[in-house]
Amino acid sequence: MEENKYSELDKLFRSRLVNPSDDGDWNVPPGEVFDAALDEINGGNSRRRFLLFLWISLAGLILTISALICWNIRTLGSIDQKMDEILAAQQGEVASQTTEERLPEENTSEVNEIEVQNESANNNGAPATETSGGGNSIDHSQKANSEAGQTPTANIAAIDNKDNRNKEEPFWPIIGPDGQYDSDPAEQENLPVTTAASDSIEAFAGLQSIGLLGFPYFFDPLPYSIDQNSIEHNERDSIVESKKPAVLFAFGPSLSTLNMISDDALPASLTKYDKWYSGYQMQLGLVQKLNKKWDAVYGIEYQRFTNQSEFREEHSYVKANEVTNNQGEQEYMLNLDLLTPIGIHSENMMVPVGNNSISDREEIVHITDMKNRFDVAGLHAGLRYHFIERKALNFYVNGGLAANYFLSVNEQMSTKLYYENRMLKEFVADYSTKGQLGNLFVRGNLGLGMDYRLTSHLNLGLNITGASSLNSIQKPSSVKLHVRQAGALFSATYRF
Amino acid sequence: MTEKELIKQVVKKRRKAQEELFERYKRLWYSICLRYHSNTDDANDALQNALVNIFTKIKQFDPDKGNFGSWSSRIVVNENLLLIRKRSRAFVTDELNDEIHVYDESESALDRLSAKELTKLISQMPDGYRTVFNLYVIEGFTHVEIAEMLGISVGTSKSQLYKARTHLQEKLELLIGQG
Repeated sequence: MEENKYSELDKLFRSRLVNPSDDGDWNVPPGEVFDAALDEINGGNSRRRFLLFLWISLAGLILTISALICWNIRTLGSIDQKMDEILAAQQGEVASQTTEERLPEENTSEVNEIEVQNESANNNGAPATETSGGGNSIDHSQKANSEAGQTPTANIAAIDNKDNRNKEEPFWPIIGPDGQYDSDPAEQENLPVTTAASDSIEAFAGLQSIGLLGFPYFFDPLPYSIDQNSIEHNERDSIVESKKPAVLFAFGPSLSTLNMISDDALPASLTKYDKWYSGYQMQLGLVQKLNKKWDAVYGIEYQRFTNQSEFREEHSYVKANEVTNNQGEQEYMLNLDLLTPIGIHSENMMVPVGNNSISDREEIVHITDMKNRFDVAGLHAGLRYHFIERKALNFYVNGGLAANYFLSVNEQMSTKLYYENRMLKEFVADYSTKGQLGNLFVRGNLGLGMDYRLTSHLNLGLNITGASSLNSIQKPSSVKLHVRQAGALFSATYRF
Repeated sequence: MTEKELIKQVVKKRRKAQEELFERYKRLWYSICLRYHSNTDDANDALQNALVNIFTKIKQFDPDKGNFGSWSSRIVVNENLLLIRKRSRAFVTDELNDEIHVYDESESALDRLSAKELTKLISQMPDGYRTVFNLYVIEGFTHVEIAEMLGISVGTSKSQLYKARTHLQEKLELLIGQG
C-alpha cells in the first residue's frame, strides 16, 4: 500500500538519477580528484618512504646541531674561565709594578733579576723549568721579601707569568720586565696561528668588557692584524679568513625525478614517467676565499639514486602461445611490457607449464619487482655569497654548474609468474641500460646553506640545493628527459 | 577505441587510457557521490577513494561478463558507504509513523525538475534518510540488504526510507508550488 503511494516518486528519482543527463557541469568532478587518485595509485608508496626518510634526516640534523651547540657553549665557558685567570694575572702584574716602586733598592733589584732571568729563558724558547738557577732565584727572592717584611706579591706574579708562558699563551709576550711588550718576531712566528687568533679575539672581547682597551700593546705584537675586518672574519669563519683553500667533504640524502618535458614528442609506446628516486650524494672539494663575501667552491662529486617499484599484470592465457621445447616440455610464451624510466621494456619469457591444463581466457599473473639504479660522477664548480654573518654562524646562497657522467644505469628485475595462486617460475634479471642514455649531462644548481664554526679549523654545515640537468639525458633528440633533484648536504670544512 | 580495448590499456596502467576512462564515466561516478553526501568535499573524497579502487581492481573485471558502468558504480556506492561509516554519522532509529502524506503529482511541474535539482534535494536530507533512500530507490537494494550493509535493523531502514520519502514529497510540493 505504502509502496504504491510512493511508486511515482521513486520512479521520478530513479529515472532521472540512475543515468543522469549531461546537463551543465554540476556533476563534473574537479580534475584534482583524478590526479590525486593516480598519484596514490602510482607514486604513493615511494613518496611516503621519502617523507619518512626526510623526517629521520631532519631529526638527526636537529639533534646533531643541538649537541654541537651545547658542546661549544661549554667550550666557550672554559675559555671565559681561562680569560678570568689571565686577567687576574694581568692585574697581579700591575700590582707588582706598584709594589716594586715602594720596595727598598736591594729588594727591587733582586725581583727584577728574577724576572729578567725568566724572560730570558722564555725568549730563548726554553722551558722555564730549565732556566738555570730559576728555582733557586725564586726561593731567594721569597726569602729576601720575607726578610724585608714585604708580601711576595711581585714574585708570585712573576711565577704565574712564567707558568703561563710555558703554556704558550699567545698574548703573554706582551709583558716585558720593563712594563713594555715583548716584540720578539721569531717567537711570535712560532705561535700557533689559529689558536692565537681565536684567543686574542676572546681576549679582546674580555678586555673590552672590563674597559682595559687602554693597553695598546695588547694586540700589536701579534702577527695577525686585529683590525675590524679580521675580527669580523674571525666571527664569521676563521677558516675562510685564510687565503689558503679549505677542504670540503659533504654527504647527504637526495630526491630526484626523471622528468620528460616533451610529452607530445613521445613515441606511442612511451608514456610519461614521473616516479621519484631517493638516494644520496657526496662531494669532495676545495673552498677558496675570494673576498669578504664570496667563496669559490670546486671539486668532484658522486651520487646514486634508486627507485623500487612493483608491477602486477594479468594476462589472458592463449593456447596458441604454447609451444613444445626441445625436451618435449610444454612452454608458454609470455610477453611482458614493463614501464621503465627510459620507456617500455618488452621481454618475451618462456614459462614451463608442464601438464597444467590451462584453458584459453584463464588468467596468468606476473608480479615484477623492478629496481632502477643510477650512479653518477661529476665535476662541480660554483660560488657562494655570504649574506648573514653572526658570530659562529654564517648563511650563504650558492650556485654553480656540474658536468655529470653516468657511471652505470642498472635495472634489476625479479618476475614471479603465478597461475591459480601457485608460482610457476621466477625470473631474475640484472642488466645495464646505460647505452640508452646520453653519457654526459650538465647540471645547474642553486641552494641555500649555513656554516657553523665548531673549532678554528673545522666548520660544519648544511646546504639545501635544487638542481636540474640543462640538457636532455635521453639519446633520441625528440624526447627530452631531464633530471630534477633536491637534496640536503651535511658538510665538514677543514683547513689543515 | 572500444571500451574493451580501453580497459585492457587501463589494466596496463597507461595514463592516457586512465584519463579516457575517467572522462567517459566521471559524471556517472560523481553523481552517485553527490547523492550520498551533503557537501562536495566529502563527495570528492569518496570519488578519489573510488577511483583508486576502480583502477586497482579493474584487472578483476571481465568485459565479456558484465557491464563496466554497473561494476564501477557498485564500487563507487561502496566507497560512499565506507566514507559515511568512517564519518560515524548516526542513523535515527525511530519507528514508522502511520501518518502518510500522499504525493499529489503534477506531471508538468515534475518534468521541469532536472537531475541536478533532484540530487540537491537528496543531498539536503539528513544522512540516514539520504543513504537509505539512495540504496533502496536508486540502487535497488532490499531492506534486508540495506540493514546488513549499514549495520542497522530492517525496521530502521524502513523508517528511514519513509521519512526520506515524506521529506522529499514536502520539498517537491514546495518546489512545484513555487514553480
